[in-house]
Amino acid sequence: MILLVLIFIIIAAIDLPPILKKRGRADVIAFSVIYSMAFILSLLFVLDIKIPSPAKGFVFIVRDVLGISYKKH
Amino acid sequence: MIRQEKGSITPNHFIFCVACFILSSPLVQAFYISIIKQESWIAIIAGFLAFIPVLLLYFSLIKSFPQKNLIQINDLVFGKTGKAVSLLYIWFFLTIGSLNIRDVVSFVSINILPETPPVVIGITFIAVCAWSARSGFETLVRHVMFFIFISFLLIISSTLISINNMNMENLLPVFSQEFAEYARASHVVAAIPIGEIFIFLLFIPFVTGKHADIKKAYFFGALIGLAGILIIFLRDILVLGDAITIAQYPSFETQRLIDVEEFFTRLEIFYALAIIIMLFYKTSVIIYAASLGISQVFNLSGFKHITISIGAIALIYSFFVFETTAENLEWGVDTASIFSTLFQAVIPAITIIVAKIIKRSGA
Repeated sequence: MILLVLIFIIIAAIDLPPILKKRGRADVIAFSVIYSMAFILSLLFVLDIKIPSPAKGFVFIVRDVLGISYKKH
Repeated sequence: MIRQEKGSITPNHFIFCVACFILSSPLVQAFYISIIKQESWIAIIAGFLAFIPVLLLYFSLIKSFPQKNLIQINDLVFGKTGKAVSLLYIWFFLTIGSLNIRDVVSFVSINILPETPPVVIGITFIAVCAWSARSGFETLVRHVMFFIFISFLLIISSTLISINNMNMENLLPVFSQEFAEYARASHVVAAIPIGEIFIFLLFIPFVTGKHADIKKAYFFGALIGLAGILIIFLRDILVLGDAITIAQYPSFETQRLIDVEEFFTRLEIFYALAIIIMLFYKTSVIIYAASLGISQVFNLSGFKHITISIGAIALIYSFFVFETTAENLEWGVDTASIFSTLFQAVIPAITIIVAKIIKRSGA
């Protein structure tokens, strides 16, 4: 947990100053969205909360909804 | 030119970029070996032949939109919906990236560092990849020739050394299974190791030279990569025979068996180093592609400041994409080829058809 926060502080320390200094608003917003997404996902992972996998969602749609599969049912 | 990045490479260099990308795949051999076993070499050749029409599709995209990359093409063809299509592509890149990270982490934690927690291996690996992705395309691919040299040196030398362990009968029987199984294995080969060079459509504007040269480079790159994995496969099948289906990492096992006068033994660590270097290259290219894609979709002024965060997302994604190795293997033999084909062939085909319709109605 503490390690995680430390890692994300390091990432912010590396990436944030150059954006704040010269880049536009779009960059600041994009960075904060992606950065917070990364942080939230890592936090959920560290706290052992199950995150639904999009790849499994794709498997469900293809195999069970559309019925496309190499496996014989 | 792309606003976010101004690197450039020659077509000859591009050949090695493509080849290196394919050569990094032997870790996932188990996917197609489990389908047609000792006849997998047929699937590799057939898979490459099946990929040629898709390659022609890419060539037609390159020709219709000179000096444009995939994201710009989507914007031109689909208008506002193009951004959504591009985001789907980025999700695809992140998924294959995270599956690669998963492969590296499980390979290292099973074979080399069994006592280290996988998270630590993942963090160190992704930190290096994200950092190299941050330095831009030109820097990223500068050492590609060196990687190719190392990997071919290892492939050829290990093949020569293991000649003693080879048994020609391991190749038999040939064509003993149903046609559908060959088709399925070829589809997996075409979609996973070879088809992933689709990602280089993002980097076309960086390659200097005429269209014909770029196309040739794309094709020969794929061919060199194919030659590499074909040699690896034949060597593994000849050495391991039926045991190839139970080995989780067949190439690793093949090298483990090498023993020349009790002097040349334990050579598998070289293979492990080579495969980690190749996967480092592959993962960095994928993270770079995802960051460049996002920076283009949202029209940012650069991609550098998001690569580390993208790397972090890819790493966490790799931990929850599949819970068990069995799930991963099932995905590899069943749905992965359909998933990849959707992004590598179906959406590009739709793009080119829509572009033709727009051109005709406009003219």
